[in-house]
Amino acid sequence: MQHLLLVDDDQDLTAMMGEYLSQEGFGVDAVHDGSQGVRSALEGDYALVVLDAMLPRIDGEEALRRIRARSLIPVLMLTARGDDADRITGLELGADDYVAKPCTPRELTARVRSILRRTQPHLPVLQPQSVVRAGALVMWPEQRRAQWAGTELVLTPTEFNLLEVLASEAGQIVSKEVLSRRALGRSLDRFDRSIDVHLCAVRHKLGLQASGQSRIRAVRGMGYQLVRELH
Amino acid sequence: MSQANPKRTPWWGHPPGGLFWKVFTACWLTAMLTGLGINLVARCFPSLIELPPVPPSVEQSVLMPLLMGGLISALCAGALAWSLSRPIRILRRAFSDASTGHLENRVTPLLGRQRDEFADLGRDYDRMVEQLQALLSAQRRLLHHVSHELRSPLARLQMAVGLLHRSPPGLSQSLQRIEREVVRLVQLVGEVLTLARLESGAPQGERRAVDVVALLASVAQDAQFEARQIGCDLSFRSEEPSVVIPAHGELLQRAFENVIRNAVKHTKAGTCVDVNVRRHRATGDLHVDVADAGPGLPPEALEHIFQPFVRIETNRVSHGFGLGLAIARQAIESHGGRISARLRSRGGLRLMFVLPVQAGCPPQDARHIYPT
Repeated sequence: MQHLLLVDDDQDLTAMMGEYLSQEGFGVDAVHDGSQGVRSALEGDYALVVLDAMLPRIDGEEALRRIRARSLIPVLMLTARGDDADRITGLELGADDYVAKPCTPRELTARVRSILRRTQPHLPVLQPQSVVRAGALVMWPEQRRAQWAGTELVLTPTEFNLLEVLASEAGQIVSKEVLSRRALGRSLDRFDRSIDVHLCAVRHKLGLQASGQSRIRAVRGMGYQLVRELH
Repeated sequence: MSQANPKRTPWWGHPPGGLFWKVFTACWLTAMLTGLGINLVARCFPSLIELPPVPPSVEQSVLMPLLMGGLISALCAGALAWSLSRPIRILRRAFSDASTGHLENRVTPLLGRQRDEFADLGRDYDRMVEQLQALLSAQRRLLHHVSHELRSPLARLQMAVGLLHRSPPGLSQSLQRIEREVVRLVQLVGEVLTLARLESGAPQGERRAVDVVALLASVAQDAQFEARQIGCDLSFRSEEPSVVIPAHGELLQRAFENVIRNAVKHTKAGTCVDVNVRRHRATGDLHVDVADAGPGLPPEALEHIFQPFVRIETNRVSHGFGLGLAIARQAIESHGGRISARLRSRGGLRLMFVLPVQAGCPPQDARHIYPT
């Protein structure tokens, strides 16, 4: 059974979320304080953290920053409906996805499941694992490891997924809709900039080509492409 | 340069039919005609005006004086026209910016050195724009707060409904939860609307004779009941049995309730909230003190608690939205009074408000003066 950590100061709400998620087969722990949330996320053995963007004292963004400084645990942010800035900042800081409050418990569960489906590392296997290669990029999806020219890349779960999709289609343009379905596990909303924010972070982590251009190319109106470099 | 009429305004900023040319032409023509006039009169009637002696070569020519005069008067006219049209141009640009939403620019640095009506106009413009900015940002803040506050009860409602779909046996409990949230939402919307109406300064309706002391006593009595239920107490003392002023009864009742019940909520278990009412010797104003024995506040927060959506954090779950004291302040100020907060020496908060009472209006007779 997978365990989830809920970090939200609204006690009534977390009680109900906990009830619903337990019925869905998850183990649930709830914390009502940002700093306690960070501690539990880092020390506990949770599969995913649901983090509210607006917490008293240390707010959601600060908590996320502290968690990401030490861990790549999947994080789902609860943002305010209609507040774009919240959402973008959360994603930029490394949240894997967001869901706007208020939401139905079904939506919440669906988002949790889609992140977990794609981010659970499998146990190391003895048989040869599938490897994705694209130029200097090597990825081991089962271990959720990636390297660029021998250096380990530190990627959040969603960043890893996106890069995996681009790498498996290296040299070809992948539409945002496909990226969303395969990496985020959901279809793309019209004005959703999550993919853009995540890929911006990945670009930074990959660095630049010799020509000074980014290794991930954005093609307006069509999608993204991992550039195949000539060696 | 001016963005408004790029085609009509040439590079020097003065359009063909504009103020600069009008003033320039008027001054120049006046100067020229005056000069010519004097010249003509001097030639035709030498006895009337004595011109200073000029060299013979110059005396006969008409062109030279014309040119000289024309040049000098053109310069003077130009200077005058410029000094008048420059401030107008600056103000015009400022208004044009303001009309497209750019309220940051100020005119006084450009106009301030003059000491005339233009500078006054510039100062008025700056004040107006500052006022607009303040109003807009206050509104933006309010919207932000309201949507933030609505989020939580609505989120809980959705969760409750979701759980309900899942397990019909939990129907009764879920419905209770839903009802609770709906009640809270209705309360929140009501408070926000009241505050918005008060802040906008809209007239609240007719004032009637209200016995303020009796009202306070009644509110205190209810609060005492509530206090005793949670192990606290409330004492009410008033020097005067009755003080009547023209007022909006409902609004004052709201204000009194917010202040007094706040005190009951915050006072520590086993303590007593003290409510004291007296009249000021000199002014005759009504002074009301509400003192609790709670945790108090940091001194810098004392002014902030009267702002909307600012909540005093306590160990107990706060049930309000942070609007109670903001409404109380607006209500009391709309009656000409004022409210403030101070810390008690033994710990706890003391809220004090003052309500002006018409001088020379004995309480018993006031009822006959104002229509009920």
